[in-house]
Amino acid sequence: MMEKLLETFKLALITLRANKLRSLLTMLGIIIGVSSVILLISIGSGLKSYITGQLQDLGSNSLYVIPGNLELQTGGSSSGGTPGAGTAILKFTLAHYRELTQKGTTFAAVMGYSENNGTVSYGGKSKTMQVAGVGYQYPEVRNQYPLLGSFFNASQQEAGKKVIVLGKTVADNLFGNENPLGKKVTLSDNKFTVLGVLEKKGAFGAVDMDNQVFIPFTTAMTTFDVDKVQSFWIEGKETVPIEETKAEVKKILLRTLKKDDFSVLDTGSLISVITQVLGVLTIALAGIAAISLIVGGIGIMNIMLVSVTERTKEIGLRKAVGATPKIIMVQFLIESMVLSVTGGIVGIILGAAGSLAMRGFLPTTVSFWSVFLAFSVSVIIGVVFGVLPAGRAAKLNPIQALRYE
Amino acid sequence: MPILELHNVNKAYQIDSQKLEVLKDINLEVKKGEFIAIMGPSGSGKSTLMNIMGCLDTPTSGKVIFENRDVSQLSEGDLAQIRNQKVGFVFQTFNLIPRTTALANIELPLIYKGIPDKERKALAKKVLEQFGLTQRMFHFPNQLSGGEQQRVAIARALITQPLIILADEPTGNLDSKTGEEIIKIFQDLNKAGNTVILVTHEKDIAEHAKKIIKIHDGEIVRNI
Repeated sequence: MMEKLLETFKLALITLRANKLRSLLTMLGIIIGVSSVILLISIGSGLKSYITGQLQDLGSNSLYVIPGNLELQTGGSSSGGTPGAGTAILKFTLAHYRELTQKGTTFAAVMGYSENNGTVSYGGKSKTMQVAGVGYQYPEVRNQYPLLGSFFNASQQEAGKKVIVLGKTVADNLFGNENPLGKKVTLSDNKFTVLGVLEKKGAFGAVDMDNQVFIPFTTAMTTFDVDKVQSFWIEGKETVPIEETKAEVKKILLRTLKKDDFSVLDTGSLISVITQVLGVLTIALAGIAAISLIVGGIGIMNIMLVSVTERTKEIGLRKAVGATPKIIMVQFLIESMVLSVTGGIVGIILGAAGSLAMRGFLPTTVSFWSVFLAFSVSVIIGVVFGVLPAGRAAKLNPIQALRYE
Repeated sequence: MPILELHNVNKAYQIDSQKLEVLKDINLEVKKGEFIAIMGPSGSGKSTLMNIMGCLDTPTSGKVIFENRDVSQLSEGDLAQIRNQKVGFVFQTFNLIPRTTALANIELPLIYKGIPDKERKALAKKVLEQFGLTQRMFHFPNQLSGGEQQRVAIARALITQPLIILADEPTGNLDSKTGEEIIKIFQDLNKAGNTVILVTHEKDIAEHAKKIIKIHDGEIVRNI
């Protein structure tokens, strides 16, 4: 039996090689499907580890208070309200900030936080970048200290002074070798005095964390003309469990706001939600890509049916000289499996190469799991879509097959 | 003792509502070493008879005894095994597998017999030599003349040393000179002890056989 199997396998290879272009085109569906599944899964996992890494970098004592009801329950079902609904409507005022600062007992630091895009210019050069409105505690909270000069202090924040601290990349781009301290830069038609330059935080993935500038969040409100604070960034005391800190934030804010007006997120729940969302997204995208695997399978079935018809006479002859229906079945099954498995392997290689090429932007990884999945799916496709044509070949009546023209 | 017996064999096809009787009550036996020609006009049922004798087809009723085994009791796999090891078919249209060398075509029955590669090649080369085809070993069917193709086909039929060789109009696609050469091969094979059954509609070809069975409208009309 082994001898026959080996010969049948060789025969399949010879047949497929005799129709190179046809075999290649047939495999293409599987190649595209498998490589996109592999690539998408690897991008998904790369995104996940990128975002998780960045959030973990922020520390486990950080809380983010954002407007809108964004239910973040690990594993639990959301209790009413569309997640993220109302996030665009700003709810927080400076009064909330003062209340949090004055009444909080479990907070190490309370910062207003906003993100805007702005163009910073100096000496004819201008760059567009992220302008972070932060609190004066930012260096301690973020563990990133000024390399030159200083960060702004509490009173500068209180007064909404037009002061700015540059990220290292911004300082290098705008000032080069010049000392930026005390210089005036323009941001949204306002002159800002450079107080300091922050030390390098490094690039995370494709995002340069040093390509941003920092201004007091109070100043950001006037500069970008909003009367509300975008969000709060609260650092809990090390000795207090994060849940207690979270409870206190809620307690204070609920005096003036409704439950649905805001959400308090901690790093852990943020990570789990993003992981969940990315997981679903990855599966959905990979699922769409997997549809092309089915299309590829149908392509294989189609070409195998053509092949059986073309070789009707050959099948009849094989039966006449002693091929059993079983061996004919095996012959055609092997052919369809060689097509799908070769397609699968090429697809895995292409997908892995694509994922490797993405390394510059994302920490993508090709998991053994996704390769195993792709490989087994292509084997299964070979069998499933090969059975019908192979069965048809096996069932051919030898006399009619021999007469077929 | 006969190696093949047919008892009251009938074969009928149902075409739409019409029943087409191709073979009616055929009785015959083949002994080892015989050279029989089955003769009849086209449509007389001689090819169907040959297919039944070669276990490629089964009768509607009646018995086929092949080497003391009742063929009607056998599965399709068992029939394939008989065809593989006991029967050698030669067809009018040669039926070589295209894009496959003469050598590989001859090897084919041995693959299904499960003979290892080396042994297979050695046997196939020996048979090729016997038919003067050594030069043509690696040629594809479309590179061979009709006579050569038929010789390859005969070599393929012989390679398993079958009990019986069945040839269906083997000269039908050949010119008369080449046809004679092919018939000569069958005569030689018979002289060497092989049992040969030749299906033909040509009288002068049938006359090369030692025994002629004439068939008409599915019935044996004369058994010489």
